[in-house]
Amino acid sequence: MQTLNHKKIAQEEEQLPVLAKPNKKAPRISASLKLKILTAIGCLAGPAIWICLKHFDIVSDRYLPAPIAVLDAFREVEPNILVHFAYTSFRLVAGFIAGAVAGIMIGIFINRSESINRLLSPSLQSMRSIPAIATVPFFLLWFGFSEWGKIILVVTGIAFNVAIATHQVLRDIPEKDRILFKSFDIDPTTFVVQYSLPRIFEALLPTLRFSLTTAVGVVIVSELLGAQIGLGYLIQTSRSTFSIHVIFLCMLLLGVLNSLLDIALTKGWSRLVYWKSN
Amino acid sequence: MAVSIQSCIILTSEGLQVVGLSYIRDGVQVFKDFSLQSAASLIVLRGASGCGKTTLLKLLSGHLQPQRVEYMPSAKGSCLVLQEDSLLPWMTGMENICKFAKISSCEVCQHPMYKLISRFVDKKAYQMSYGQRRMVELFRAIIHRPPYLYLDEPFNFLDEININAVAPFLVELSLTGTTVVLSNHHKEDIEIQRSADVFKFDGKFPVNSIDCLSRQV
Repeated sequence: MQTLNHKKIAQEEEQLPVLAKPNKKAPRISASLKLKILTAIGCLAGPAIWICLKHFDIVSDRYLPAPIAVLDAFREVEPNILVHFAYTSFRLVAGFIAGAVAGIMIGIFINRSESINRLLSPSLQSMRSIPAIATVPFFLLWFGFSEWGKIILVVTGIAFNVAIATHQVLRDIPEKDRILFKSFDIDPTTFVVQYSLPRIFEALLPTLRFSLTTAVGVVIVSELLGAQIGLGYLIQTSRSTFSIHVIFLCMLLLGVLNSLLDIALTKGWSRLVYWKSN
Repeated sequence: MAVSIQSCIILTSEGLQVVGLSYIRDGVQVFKDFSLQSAASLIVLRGASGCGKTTLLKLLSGHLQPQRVEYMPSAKGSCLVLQEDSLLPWMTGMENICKFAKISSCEVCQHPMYKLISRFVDKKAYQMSYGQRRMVELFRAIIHRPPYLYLDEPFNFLDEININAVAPFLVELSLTGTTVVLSNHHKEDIEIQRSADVFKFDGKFPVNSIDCLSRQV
């Protein structure tokens, strides 16, 4: 049995090249904290620029109200600005949900058979290409100032886009799924709950986010032309009284509403499509 | 590992016969007047990646259409299991089996192969490992009992123990009326090799014929 020659080992170790010592200092700011700081800067940059522009009087009140004036508008508006906000939110959310559901159902229906697809697709494509905003006067004549009219307007504004996108998702079945259904002699159009809906949910989020923006525009235009309460109505009446600070406040609230709904949509969707995030 | 035959009746399958198959893909003549004859009920296809094994399996199962063929087994009722995992991730393993193979969970639990998947079959497919998903897919194909079963690299993601556990069930399936054709790289499947006609692609295009390395014992 060989014994270790410690002296020889120590001599050999002395001859080995000395490696540079690693930098033991931890990073001062972690990567996630950097991202949070950048996000905060992005959120605060706009208001900061606004405050600077008004503080140094670079832009006149005719074009850009002061931040204080916009905050004062909260107290000036009657009824309370939050009531207007609530009405607009309700019309938007109700119309968006109904429109998305209707669009998905229409898309599943036209995918049932090629005959139904050929029969309905030309009409759907035509209606989809009509700008929803252009149909506002038509709905005002039909429904007047009623809430139903505004909700149905949002539904028609987004349902056809969602329907076409849904149909496309169901047509573009991955090869491995087509082979799977054929191997077990199953018609994929009959697997609505087990297959069609999950596949639709996987692919439809970008269309829905875009449709949300469309829905906001449609709601505001409908309120501009035919409402007695809501942010769009408030913008219209403020224009008549040159209350630019109120208009600004409404626009800010619309931006907040759109952002909150977009975040809620994205987070809710990731829960719905739970298998993709794991 | 000995094969346990569940039935006293051994059903003969038709073997596999292909005559005059020609197929072009993306401008490349993959098969030209290709012929293959085997009386075996279990056939193994070997060859390097890209030599045409998967294409042949897709042609035989009817998922690709040849430009010309004189004779080929009917694709009706055949089942193809690809290399890619095709379990629906939002369904459990049991749901993936029952809904596609159109059987009840009781029938699944009574199958002798159930013990190989019982630990994880009630998980959602996205929660399973690739090896577990492969086991569930093979179970589903075996319990389905199609007249022709085409398997593309069925032992991918499986360790030697699981390969040796599954192989007897494939052999048994081939003895009870199903012609099983599989492409495979693994050399651990001794049971399969012994029971099958083994053919090898030489990797050259167009494929006109393939060499038979060994015949069913």
